[in-house]
Amino acid sequence: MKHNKWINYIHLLGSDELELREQQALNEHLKVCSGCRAVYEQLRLDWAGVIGEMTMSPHIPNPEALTASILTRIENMDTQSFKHQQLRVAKGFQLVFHPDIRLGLQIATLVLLAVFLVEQYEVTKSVKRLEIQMHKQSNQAHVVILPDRIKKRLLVNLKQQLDKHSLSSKRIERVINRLEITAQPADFWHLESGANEGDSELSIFERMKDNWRRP
Amino acid sequence: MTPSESQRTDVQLIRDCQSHDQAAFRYLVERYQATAFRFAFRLSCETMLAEDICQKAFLRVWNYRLKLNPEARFATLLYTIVSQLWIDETRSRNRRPSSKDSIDLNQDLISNEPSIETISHNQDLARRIKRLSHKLPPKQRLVFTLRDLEDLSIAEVVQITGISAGSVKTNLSLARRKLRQQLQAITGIES
Repeated sequence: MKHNKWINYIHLLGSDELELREQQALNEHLKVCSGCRAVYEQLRLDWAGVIGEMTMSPHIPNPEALTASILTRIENMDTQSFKHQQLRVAKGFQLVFHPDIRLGLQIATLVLLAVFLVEQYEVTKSVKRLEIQMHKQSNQAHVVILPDRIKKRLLVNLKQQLDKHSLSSKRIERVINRLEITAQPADFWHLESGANEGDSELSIFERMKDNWRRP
Repeated sequence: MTPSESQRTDVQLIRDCQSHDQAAFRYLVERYQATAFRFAFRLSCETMLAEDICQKAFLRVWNYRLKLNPEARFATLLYTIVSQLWIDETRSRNRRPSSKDSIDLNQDLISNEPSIETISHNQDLARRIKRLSHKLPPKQRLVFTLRDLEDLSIAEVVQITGISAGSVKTNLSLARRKLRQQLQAITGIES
C-alpha cells in the first residue's frame, strides 16, 4: 500500500510533473526498493518502445510523383489566375459596351465637356481682366522705381515749397507717397520747373496731380 | 538534385523562389517533402490525407513566397503550415460526419499505386499511433507529436503552435499522461 505513492510518482516522473524535491525523494526510494525499481524500469522500457514505434518514419508512396503533382498544381494555379485576370478584363469590356451603360457614359461625357467649357470661359475672362489690370499697374508700378537722385531732388524741392506753407512733415510725407504711386517719370522734370515760390499748398498739390495724371 | 544544387542553402533557394524560379522551388520541395509528409502522417494517420496536406502546404509556401523571410528557418514554417492544414481538416471532418477515420487499403492503392510494403508499413505505423493517441484532443496531439515525435524544442513548438510555453508544457504533460494510461491499459501493467 505504501508503495502506491511511489508508483504514482513514477508515472508523474515520466510526465515531468514532479517537483525537484519529489524527484529526489523518488530517486532515493528507488535505490532501496527493488519492487518500485522494477515498475520504473518496465514503464521506461515500454515508453521507450512506444516512442520508438511511433517515431518510425512513414514511407512516401511515390516521392517523384508527389513533387510532380505539387509543381503541376502550381502551374495550373498560375494559368488559372492568368485566365481569371483575362476574364475579369473581358467582363469589364462587356460591361462598358452594354447599350445602357454606353448611353450613360455618353451623357456623362457631354455634361463633363459642358462644365469644362464653362470653366475655361470663366478662366479666360478672369485672366484677361487680370492682364488689363496688370498692364495698368505695370505702368503705374514703373514710376515707383525712380532713380534716387531724382527722387531726392523732387523731395527736396517739394519740401521747400510745402514748408513755406507750414504743412506738417507728416502731411508732406503723405503727399510725396501719393505722388510716387501715381506719378509718371517724364513729369518730374516738369514738376521741378513748375513749382513757384508763393504758390499755395492747394495749387501746388493740384498742379502736381494734374501734371502727374498726364500720360 | 545534383551535388552543387544540394549545397544551395534554404536562404538561397527561398530568395530564388521569390524571383519566381520554379526550379529552386522544386529543390525545396524535394528537400522537405519527406519532413512534411512524415509530420502530416503522424497527425492524420492516413497516407492520402498526408499527401494532400503536404501538397497544400507547399502550394501555400509558393503563394506566399514574396512575404517569406529567407533568413527564417524554413522547416519551422513548414511545420506551422502543416499544423494549420491538419487542424482545418480535423474541424471540417468534425462538422461533416464521415467514416474517413478508418484506414482504407483501396484508397492507398488508387492514390499513387504504392507498393504493398509501403502500404503495410504505413498501415502498421498508423495503427500503433492511433492505438495510443486516438483519445488525445487535437491540441495535445499536436504538441506531443511536435515535441516527442518530431523532437523539436519547446521554443519551436511555441513558435509553430502560437500558444504560450506554459500552455505547451501543460498540454504535453496531459498528453503523456494519457498515453501512459493507454499504454498501461494495453500492456496490462498494474500499479
